[in-house]
Amino acid sequence: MKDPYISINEVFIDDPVKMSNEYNLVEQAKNDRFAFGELFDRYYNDIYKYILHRTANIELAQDLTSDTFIKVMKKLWTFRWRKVPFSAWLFKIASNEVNGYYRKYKSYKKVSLENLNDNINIDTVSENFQIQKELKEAEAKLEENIMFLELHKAIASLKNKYQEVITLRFFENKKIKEIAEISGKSEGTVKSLVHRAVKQLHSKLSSSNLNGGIEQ
Amino acid sequence: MKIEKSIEMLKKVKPPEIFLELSKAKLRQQLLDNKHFKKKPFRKRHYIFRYAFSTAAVIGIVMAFVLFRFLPREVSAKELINNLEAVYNRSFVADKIHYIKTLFKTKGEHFGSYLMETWKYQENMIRVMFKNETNDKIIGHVIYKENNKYELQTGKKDSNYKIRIVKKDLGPGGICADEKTIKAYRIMVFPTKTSDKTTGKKKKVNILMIKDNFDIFGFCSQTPQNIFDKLKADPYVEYIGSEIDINTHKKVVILERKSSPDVKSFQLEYEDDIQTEMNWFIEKLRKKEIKLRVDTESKIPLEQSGPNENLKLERINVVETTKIETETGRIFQITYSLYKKDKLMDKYELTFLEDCFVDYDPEIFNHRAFGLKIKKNES
Repeated sequence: MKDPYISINEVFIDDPVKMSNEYNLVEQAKNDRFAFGELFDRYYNDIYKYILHRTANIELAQDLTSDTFIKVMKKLWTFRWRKVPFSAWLFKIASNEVNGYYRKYKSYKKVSLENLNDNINIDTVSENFQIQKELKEAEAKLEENIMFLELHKAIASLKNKYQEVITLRFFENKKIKEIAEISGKSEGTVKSLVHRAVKQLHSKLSSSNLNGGIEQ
Repeated sequence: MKIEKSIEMLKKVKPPEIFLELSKAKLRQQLLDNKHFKKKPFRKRHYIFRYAFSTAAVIGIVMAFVLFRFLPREVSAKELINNLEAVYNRSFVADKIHYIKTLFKTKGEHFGSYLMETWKYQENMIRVMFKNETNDKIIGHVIYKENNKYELQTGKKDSNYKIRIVKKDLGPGGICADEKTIKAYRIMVFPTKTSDKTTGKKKKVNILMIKDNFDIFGFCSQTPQNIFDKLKADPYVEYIGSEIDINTHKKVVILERKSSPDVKSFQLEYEDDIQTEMNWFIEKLRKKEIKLRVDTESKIPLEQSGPNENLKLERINVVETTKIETETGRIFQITYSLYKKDKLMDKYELTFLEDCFVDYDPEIFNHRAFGLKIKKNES
């Protein structure tokens, strides 16, 4: 039976050349900061985007992305290749950060970068100013996307495991196999999770204005 | 249909594509400048752990090897037999004479002790020489070659003592063992310790009927190879321990086989030295030409005879002990101990003093050189 949720924009990760390059880069990044920088460049946007889609909060997404990469830096030496792409490992850390945050605070509270990470000091005022400006602009841009924010409200009311699979499946366009690799669950379990998540989301949307819009 | 609408919506909604280039650049810089990368041990620590672990593993293996090698440990019978296999699984050495020198001893004095030397060449030439252990005097010498038997003439007259054995037909007062039972046994005869003193001219002998391949002649003529084959075939051989042999002062390990052959013994009273007749009697028994019949007042069949009768049938346990020299890995000694009600009744010990192959020399089988005379085959 065909998976009803497969999108056209599937990103194929089973590319041997890509895997080989990725392997070399990750192994090098374990000891070499410049290689780590390259790894950071390659994956920062994907991770930030995913966390932003989970949180729908520019500043929080930025903080949690920082946390994710600090953790990656510290734990990279423990990473072992087990037929799972490196990106799955990164997404798993990012997911854990978001889930952990929600477990801890239940709802969003503004957390400063300095408080979250003792190792990183943003030391110049001008840089801070520029970053704050960038954050504000990004927030404004996000607020324009009303459709997403409304949908996110409904998604955010679901359990973490459902939020995770819906975001990965529909916003990040991940295949079932990739979600299984990230979440450490079997493909069958992920399919079932996605199905239940969509069902629950549907019931949330039914009572909201957004759903009414769809019905029209 | 409604769920499909929600799915459609999920696909329709475009999530924001926002990238914070400044924050990204700042974070990148901070990560790369982080002391985590500056610490050299970051890279080295990993190898130090690996190195330490590998070194510990190697030391552990070496220590285990040393302990295994030098600490006393229990070995299994199976291990010892496997070691013997390496020594005795030798192929036949063509054109060589297999020479074995043994010392045979018994607990009692009925057989005494003697040295036995055997030269065997290509299955058809055998020379056996018996010597008194104490004075080295030859007490028996025989050569088998070209289907002839050459023996040493001792000048000793054949015994004229008789054993009252009735051939073939049974007398009215005789005791008869079941012929089928007799066929299954090997016979061993030896005098009792109290022979002459109690009965004057008459003598008593113990006859052992052992349902095993044990007989005193077979015992004396077995080679280390035979013993090894027997040990290998027996799954119940036990390792007993090790000791220093009191004669050679060499360390030996001990294996034990507890055979429980259906051994029966009875006493036979006769008038004096009956060796010749007894040899004949045993030979005939082996060839199953006669039924055992002992001249006695009792009319009870042999198998049913009680302990108070002239014929005694009792269970005897045989324990076979093999000693192996640890230094050479060769069989050093084999002992048969016969126990009656846990009391050592008799003991036969065969020590292998030499076991080697020597170059063929026709003089070794030259019967004339040793004064041996041809003896016609006895039927």
